[in-house]
Amino acid sequence: MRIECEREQDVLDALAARRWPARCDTELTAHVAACPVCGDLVEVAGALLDDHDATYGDARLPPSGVVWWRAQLRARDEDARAAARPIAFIQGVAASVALWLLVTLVRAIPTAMVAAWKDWVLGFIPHLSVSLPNLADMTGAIPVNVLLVVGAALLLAPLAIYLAVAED
Amino acid sequence: MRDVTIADIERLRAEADGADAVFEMDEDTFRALYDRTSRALWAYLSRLTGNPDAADDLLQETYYRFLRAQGRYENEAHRRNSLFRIATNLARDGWRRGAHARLVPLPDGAQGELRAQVDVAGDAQRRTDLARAMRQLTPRERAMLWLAYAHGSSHRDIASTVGVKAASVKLLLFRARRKLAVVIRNEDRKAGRDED
Repeated sequence: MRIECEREQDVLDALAARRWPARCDTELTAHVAACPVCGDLVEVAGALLDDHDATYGDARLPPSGVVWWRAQLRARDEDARAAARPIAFIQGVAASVALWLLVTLVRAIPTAMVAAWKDWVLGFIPHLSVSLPNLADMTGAIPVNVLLVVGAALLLAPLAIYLAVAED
Repeated sequence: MRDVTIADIERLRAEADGADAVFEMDEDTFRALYDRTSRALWAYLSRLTGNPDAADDLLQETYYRFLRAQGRYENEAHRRNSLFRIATNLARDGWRRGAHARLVPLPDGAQGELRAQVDVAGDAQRRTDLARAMRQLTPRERAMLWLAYAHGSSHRDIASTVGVKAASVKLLLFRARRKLAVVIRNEDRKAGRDED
């Protein structure tokens, strides 16, 4: 099967100039009637050209100034968000490190000192007989694997924050 | 996309005084380019997606990405090709994500109502038939046919816009044309039977 015809350009020119079919030579119209390639071309290109003209009229275009300002606005917002991403990451790292330090410090406090503090605090509220848990004992009682999971979570938290912000 | 408010414009004006330019292209150049290209681009997107509302959104997205790309263009044709390539990719991405399900067509009944409202001397009927026929093609086939016959692009430009080898354009175009011609003739035949 042929995929092209040497008269295609003539047909396209006639269609584009709106000469088809009334103001075309009879030789070209006879050719199109006999040539399947040009027959398809007239069918398709004719319909698309008509549609193109009509669609042009349908276009509901915003003014160029509005498109420009919207693009500016969006670009600035995106730039500001991109600039904030590293800051969010550093804040996440800092928060994780601070939390880790806090846990480490609490664990490092001697049991006797915690008991003394507890007595000192309870001295202000003698009417309450609440037994505060021993923080050092508490953290000491946590299994190592749980601590590892918490540690990993603290380390991954900044990354998660970063990815969440980057998604935006 | 949200509307631009007066406050936004005021803020941008204030920022523009002290800040670096966001885009490489200046406003006047952009506006001239937009005035020259937007109508053709909207028509292309409208036919590619089958939905004028989607074309509205994609048009603005296309120009935004074009401005953000800050490409170096040799000439007007190069710029135009770049715009059409961005538009093609956006429409294709929408298609892949399944957006076509909501982008496309009204059910037959609704199309009939729409047709009744806008039909002037059968033009709307023909356009609706073409739209229905185009929907039976793949997005790439639609893009190629529109660029070749409605937009008058060269095979080289079509290849660069659609992302195929220039040597393949002739054959792909032939197949797409054949397919659309058959569908249009079938639609015509069906319409003839309905009238009888």
